[in-house]
Amino acid sequence: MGLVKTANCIFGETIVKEGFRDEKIFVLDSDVSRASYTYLFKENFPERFLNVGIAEQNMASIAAGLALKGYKPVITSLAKFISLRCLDQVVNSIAYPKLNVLMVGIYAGISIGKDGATHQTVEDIGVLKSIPNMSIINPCSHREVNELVGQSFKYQGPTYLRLTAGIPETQLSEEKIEFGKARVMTNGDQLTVVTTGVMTGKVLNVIKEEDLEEKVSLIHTHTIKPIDAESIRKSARKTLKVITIEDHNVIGGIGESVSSLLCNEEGVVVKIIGLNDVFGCSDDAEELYNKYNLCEESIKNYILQNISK
Amino acid sequence: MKNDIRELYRKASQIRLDTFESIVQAGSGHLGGSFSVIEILSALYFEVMELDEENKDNLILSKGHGAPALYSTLVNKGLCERGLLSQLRKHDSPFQGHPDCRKLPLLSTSSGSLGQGLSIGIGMAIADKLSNSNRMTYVILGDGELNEGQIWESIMFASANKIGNLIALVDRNNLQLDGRTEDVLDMGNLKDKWKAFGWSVLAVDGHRIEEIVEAINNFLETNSNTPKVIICNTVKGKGISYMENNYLYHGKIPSGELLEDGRNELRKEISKWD
Repeated sequence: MGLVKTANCIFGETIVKEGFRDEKIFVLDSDVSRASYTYLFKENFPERFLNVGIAEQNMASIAAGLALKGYKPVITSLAKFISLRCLDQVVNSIAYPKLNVLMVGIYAGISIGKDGATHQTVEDIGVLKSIPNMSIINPCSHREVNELVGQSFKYQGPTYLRLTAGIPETQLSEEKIEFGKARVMTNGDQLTVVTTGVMTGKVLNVIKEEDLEEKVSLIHTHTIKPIDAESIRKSARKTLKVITIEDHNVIGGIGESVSSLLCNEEGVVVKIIGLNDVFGCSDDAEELYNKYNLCEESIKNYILQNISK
Repeated sequence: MKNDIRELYRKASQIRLDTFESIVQAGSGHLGGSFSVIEILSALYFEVMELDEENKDNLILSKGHGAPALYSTLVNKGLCERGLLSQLRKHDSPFQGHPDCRKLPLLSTSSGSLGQGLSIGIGMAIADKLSNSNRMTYVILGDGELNEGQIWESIMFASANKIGNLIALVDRNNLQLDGRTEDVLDMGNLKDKWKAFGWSVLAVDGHRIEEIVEAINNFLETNSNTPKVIICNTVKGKGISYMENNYLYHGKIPSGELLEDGRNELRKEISKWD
């Protein structure tokens, strides 16, 4: 068996493919190009690649300048730093003038594991979704990375790509992948589970292993903003019970987005699962999912508590 | 010089009066930092910059609080309607409190949050180099703005990456909101600092239009790959005696007798050039 590629590698290959298709794509990296695989873009298009060094603020504003001239810049760093270190630059240089910049954050959530809390990201979704003009995508599989990166270049305005280590290579579903549209992975009638990113594969594993496809609707929101309100409302009206599960602080995450769009739905109850307003810590990623009750065993319990036998 | 120098100074004086009246009418705005940058803007818009759409040079007013001076310059250059001056800082007006390129598309970019304009200018300069364009990028920075760490990231980057089609102009008025720049954060010898970071540096009297133009032309003729900066020594509040070098007029609006005194001084300055 050959080595399985990482999500970062798929991203790196995807922007090379996009680079051949569109000569306006310009990639900026902040000294993580070996991890983000943007070095592949540099190898193919050296004239459209710049490593700015460890200087994310400068990188974000240079991207704004390039976008003002019609380029489609991609800026790359760890999710923690692309979402926070250059936040004012993203808000004022990029989002306010609604510029086409793709911000790529690698090792999102707690997936970076042993590097610990300073490199883990439990606040990026909350921070970035509150910025007008900003879109957020959080793929659950390699296929989604490939499809959504390409689609994001067609939308006017900035997009944040949240890349989490450990998302599966498998496609997970035959459902169409469309920017802004949730994917209905299973279509049951007792409980709606809304997930995003790396959590979707874990929930789907539980549903399949426990043979719950006819009881649980799994709605995967790869596009967190704009969120697909229609798909979520439709499922919630059917099941009335909704659980959201995410590798992010429960404050500011998708649980709050889902709750706000369901708050006027009669009889619908939403339970939010995620990190309960705590920072992460060092350990293997899988151990951390156990610690914060985001592992498959915990997910199974959440689901079984909310459906009838 | 393309224009008669007396005419340029007369225009600058008119821009200063227009800036004053628009800020007074809006009831808020930054008089001191707008007044110090007027001759820099006049040199750029009336003598230096290519404004024809096809070859238009880029201008970024990174010290975005100088926006009223920029708007008054655009009006006096005939690029914006004079009537807009009375719409300064009103909702939906193209003349927002800080420059907004979506509401006023002839601007190169939006600005206001300090420290970002030089990086944006670098991005524009890179894009122009890629398309083999001869356009230049001009970035006007405040001296207080140089406190921002991002400025030094961008200064390092520009020399390392040989961004030669970029000229920064520092409005060196020696004051920022809280007081003297040396008292708030002493930045030492600015010329030496920029030089040490690999830039070509000139210093001029920032209220003498001919000196600013000459410095820019010198840089344009060298055609080198080094980024360039002109330290423009200016006076905050220039043009109204009680405001000059008075940090309290960073964001304060005069009233009563002071208002009339200021207006009269500015009118007198215009008539000097008739």
